[in-house]
Amino acid sequence: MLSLAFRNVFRNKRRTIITLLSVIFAAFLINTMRFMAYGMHQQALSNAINLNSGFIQIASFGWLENKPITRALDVDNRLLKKIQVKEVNSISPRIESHALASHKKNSVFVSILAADANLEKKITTLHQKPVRGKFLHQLETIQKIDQEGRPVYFANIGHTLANNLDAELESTIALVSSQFDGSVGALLIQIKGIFRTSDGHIDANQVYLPLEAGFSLYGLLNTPEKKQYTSIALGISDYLQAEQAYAKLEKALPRPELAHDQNPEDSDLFDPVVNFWPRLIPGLYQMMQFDDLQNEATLAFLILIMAFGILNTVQMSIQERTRELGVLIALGTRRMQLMFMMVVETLCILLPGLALGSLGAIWLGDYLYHNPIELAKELTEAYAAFGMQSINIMAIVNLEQLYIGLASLFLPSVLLALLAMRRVFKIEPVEVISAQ
Amino acid sequence: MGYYLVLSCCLLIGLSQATPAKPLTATEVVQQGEKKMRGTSSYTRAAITIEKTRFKRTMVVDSWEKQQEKSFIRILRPKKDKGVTFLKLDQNLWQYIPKIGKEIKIEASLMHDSWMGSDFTNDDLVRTSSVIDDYEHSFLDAVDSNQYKILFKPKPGAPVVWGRIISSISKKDFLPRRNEYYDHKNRLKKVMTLSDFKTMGGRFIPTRLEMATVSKGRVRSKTTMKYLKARFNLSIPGRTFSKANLRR
Repeated sequence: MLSLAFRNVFRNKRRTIITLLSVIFAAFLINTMRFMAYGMHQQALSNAINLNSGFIQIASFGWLENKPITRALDVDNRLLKKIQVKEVNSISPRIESHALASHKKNSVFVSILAADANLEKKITTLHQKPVRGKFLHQLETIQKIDQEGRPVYFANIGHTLANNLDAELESTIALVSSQFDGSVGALLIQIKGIFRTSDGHIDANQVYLPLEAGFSLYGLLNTPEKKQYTSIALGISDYLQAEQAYAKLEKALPRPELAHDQNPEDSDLFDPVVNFWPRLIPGLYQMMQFDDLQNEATLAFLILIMAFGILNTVQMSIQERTRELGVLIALGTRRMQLMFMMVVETLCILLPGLALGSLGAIWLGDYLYHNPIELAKELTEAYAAFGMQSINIMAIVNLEQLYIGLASLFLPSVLLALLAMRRVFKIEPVEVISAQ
Repeated sequence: MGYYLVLSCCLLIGLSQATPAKPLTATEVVQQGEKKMRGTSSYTRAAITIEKTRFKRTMVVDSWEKQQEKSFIRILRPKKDKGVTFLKLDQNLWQYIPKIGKEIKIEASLMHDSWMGSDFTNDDLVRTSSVIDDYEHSFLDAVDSNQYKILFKPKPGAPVVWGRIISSISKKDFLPRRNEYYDHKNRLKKVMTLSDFKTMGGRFIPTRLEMATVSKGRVRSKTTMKYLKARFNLSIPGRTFSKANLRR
């Protein structure tokens, strides 16, 4: 049967080559698309995490959705000890909220992130971005006293925000906010650095302050025994370590249960909880899921086209050899043996095709990983306008993606081929032999 | 005999001329109460205590008001809020913040936001909306026979945030004892309780106002305003209601 199968594969060389090429092309295209989608998603994730959120943050229950300052987290040494699991390299306590920034006749609502600049450096990559002036960690001091005896804290803001406020380096900006106890919080800041990231949202909204400025602006507790922060960002090396750390921290800081119609933000529970990156950047997470869904839908078409190609080849093959198959059956060959022969024929085309196509995809994926295609400047700016960081066109060769790609091609092809092979069971030897 | 005939005729003529006393409308009841609680001008000093889940704090404020068009508030205590002032002229509201030496204009859209983190809104403190002009009033069945129960329904286009207000007003002195504030989905959101009625500044007024924020039937927080001093119909210099006074 095996030798028959091999002979039959090369019987119609043209058809075999065409089918083989279609399998190679499909495998190449599908796996390349998977590697590229995976690579670009990982890049977007890495950009977002490294620039701002980190993989994991600790915050009080109900804070994350709207970040009200009234849900600040009470932090003492006990909590700090609990969160420092093996995978955590560094921690950075933060005070994040909103304020009204005013300069000359311009006022803009801004997001405030007050943190220790030296600790933030270990978690985010903001300090690697281009800046006019200096980043906070490069300054020798964090504040000065103005002529009226008021403290003026130093700050970094994005270039878009600076334009919107008509502010420059050394400009003094007034910040007004609501404090933890509801009273009016207000602060003067002086711009010491204007940065440019590729994230339009950060460039247009974010103000970075020293941690002490955050305590002053929002009236949070700051004593040696206990402090109030809004969140604690954890510095973790990579995604795998982050998953392990998250599993441990979730057990150590269980999330409180609420009645199904109760809003966490309205609850009286302020327990510390762990927020993993899908919660921290839900927009990106949902975009990735939607993108995956779109890709799968597109790939499904390709897979079907290829699988129907295999189906066609098998059907034609049976059609041409009906008499021959009838003779074999008449000579005593069992139909299952014939099925086996046809399965081998199909695999002789499918397996090399998949292998060659996948090898091509791995080569291209590796090339794109080391030589990503950078987007044009206009497209980068268009991304930034929508608050998204631009990403290069790159790929990451990932075994999981490869196995999924191969399985998604192999299984439908074999299934359709088996459907076509049912015809073998309908062959009547007497009829087909006596037919002209 | 003749005398009694004349007297009887006079009585009959008199009785035929007499008209029955006209009952007050709901609007008139509300107007009576407003007239009693306010004068054409007023000065008050009040202690405002805010109680929330995680903190409790007290402020002392001075407040001047002229009719319903001008209002000025200065915070005296605590130290971190001292010197914060508010000025209302017609429908415009400004706030001065000494920490940064700047005044900011509070937009009309923010009038129903919390005032200084309390359960009162900016509108409650400076009264940009009017319970008489902005609402239609009607009686409801009162549980307590000594009180009117009046429904306040916003007039179309009125700049108010409430779907309706139900007020329990004493029949004796026309002063409210309890106000319930409902949103447009008919959910009870706030309850104001007025108590400690005393004569202050020549008027009989409630000197303790408690505003509680309610969510799903539970009191989430409350703010108590206790009047320490009050004077009515006094002469207030025009410069009190000026932007320059914000910084003084």
